[in-house]
Amino acid sequence: MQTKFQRWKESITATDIVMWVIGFALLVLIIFGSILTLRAGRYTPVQWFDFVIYGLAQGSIYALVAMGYTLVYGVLRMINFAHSEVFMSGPFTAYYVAAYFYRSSLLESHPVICLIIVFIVSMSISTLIAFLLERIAYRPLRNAPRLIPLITAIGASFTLMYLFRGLYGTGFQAYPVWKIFDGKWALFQGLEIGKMQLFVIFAAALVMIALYMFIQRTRIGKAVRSVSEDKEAASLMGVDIDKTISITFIIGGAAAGAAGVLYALVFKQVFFMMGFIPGIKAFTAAVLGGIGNIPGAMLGGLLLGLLESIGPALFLDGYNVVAPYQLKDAIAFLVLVLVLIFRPTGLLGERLAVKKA
Amino acid sequence: MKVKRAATIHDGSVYAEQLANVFAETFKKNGGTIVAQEAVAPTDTDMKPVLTKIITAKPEFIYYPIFVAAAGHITRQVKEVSGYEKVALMSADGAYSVDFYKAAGESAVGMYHSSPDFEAFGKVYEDFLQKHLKKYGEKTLAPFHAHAYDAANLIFNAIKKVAKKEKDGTLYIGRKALRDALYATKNMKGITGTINCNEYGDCADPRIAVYKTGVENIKTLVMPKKSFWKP
Repeated sequence: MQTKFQRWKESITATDIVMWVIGFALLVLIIFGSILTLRAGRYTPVQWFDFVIYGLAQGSIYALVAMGYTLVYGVLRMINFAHSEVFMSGPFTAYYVAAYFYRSSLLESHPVICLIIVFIVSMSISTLIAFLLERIAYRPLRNAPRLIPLITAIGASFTLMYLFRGLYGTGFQAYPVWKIFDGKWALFQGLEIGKMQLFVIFAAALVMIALYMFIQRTRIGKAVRSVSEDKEAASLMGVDIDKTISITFIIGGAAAGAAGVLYALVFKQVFFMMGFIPGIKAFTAAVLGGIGNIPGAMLGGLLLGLLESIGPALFLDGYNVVAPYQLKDAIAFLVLVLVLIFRPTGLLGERLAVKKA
Repeated sequence: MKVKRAATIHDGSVYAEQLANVFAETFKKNGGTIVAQEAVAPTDTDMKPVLTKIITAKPEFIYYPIFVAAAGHITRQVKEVSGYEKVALMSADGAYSVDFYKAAGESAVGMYHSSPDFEAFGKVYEDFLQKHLKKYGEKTLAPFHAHAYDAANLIFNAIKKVAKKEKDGTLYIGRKALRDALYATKNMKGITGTINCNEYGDCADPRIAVYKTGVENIKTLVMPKKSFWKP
């Protein structure tokens, strides 16, 4: 025990100490602010509950998109920056289907069927885009130095964004309202939960569980996991690397397409740059949870959503900060910095680090 | 309107922040209370948390002079947060367009916008609209079309004044001369009124009105014709 401590003492550097001091200072600020806010008692428990639900709904969308980042990182060790456009392409295309249903008043009579069709359209478009992206932009560069696919990803992201701008125009479009999701369910003691939020949380959880099961339980999933562990060894064992990587992109694309429809159902507006911000947030979520780790991406997404929703009110209200919600991104990224200081591999990243070692 | 407690939301842009601040000052001067001054980012989509925060201050009126995307999100999500049933909504010209009606949908019914007063523009303006429709096949999209037209004419006039043709045929427009000529514009007859520029380059004949959106406006995606209030 003594020797372990000594070794730890020797390996520590000045930078480490500075980072730890910054980390602790931020942590103290956050905790102190939360205590001040809670003591001021400005929000009722019902409102805190609302914050949590809004955060979970937003977070589960981030989590779905983050899965795409993390899966691709797992097999290719690259950040697929064009994933935000995969996320945009599905719902933007499905909007035209939804608008058609709305005009033909099919939406009124068969809301559930319409919803399923919109989901299918969006998921297939996103999947197709993700598949083509890998085929055209990434596969020829698979053995190139690591920086090159990264730059290609950024280029592909812009290409897709402006391709869709050319296709559908620069304007905003708004998804029609599904009447079945209007209103709220009353729980006990005045707690209410919006039907839309509930649906988003459940649908996202369902898709995530399904994809997770697919990766953990099926043969193809096993291939994906083996490629992410060691590409050469997997190919020696008879795993078709090209096919497996394609499948990874397809899974990520399907999750992004589903996330896109959920996003569009909640926020209604779709336009050609809608993927940019959720893409960055989902990437953050993936890093937060430990990139390459699928449960980590889910956890990171939910946590990020919660932070954005509760963070400004909880951490900053106590200090009487003016307009704390302008700082919600700052808070989310600050927590990312904190997590990375204390756990450089992300929240659940350790298992991956051990595996790689 | 008789409201005593108002809240403002801006998006960090100079334009929106100043509008919100001026609104707050004037509102206080007239005996009202500003209960919350919040801000969002123009790219934010989930406004429910910030709206929940604002409702704890119990406003009767929210003024959010921001732009189409964020204003659309706020307008829709106000309906999803409890406590806002009787709160009146008002935005400004940045979100006064058909695009906003698309973005906000039916939730925009009954809300107010401050915007240029189109009724004050007169006959020339009607002709301008007709010509625009004929040339581009669609109606004007944003509220400042008339101002944009005047601004273009302002700069054309100034360029005509200062442009010199060199012997080899190149057109030479002095930057400083152009600015001086522009700032010196006086009594130009534009669509929006008689335009005078001052030494800071502010050139306008400001006429602002408040418009109220009705059910018909959303259904047909047409901006309101009659103003709700004028100074």
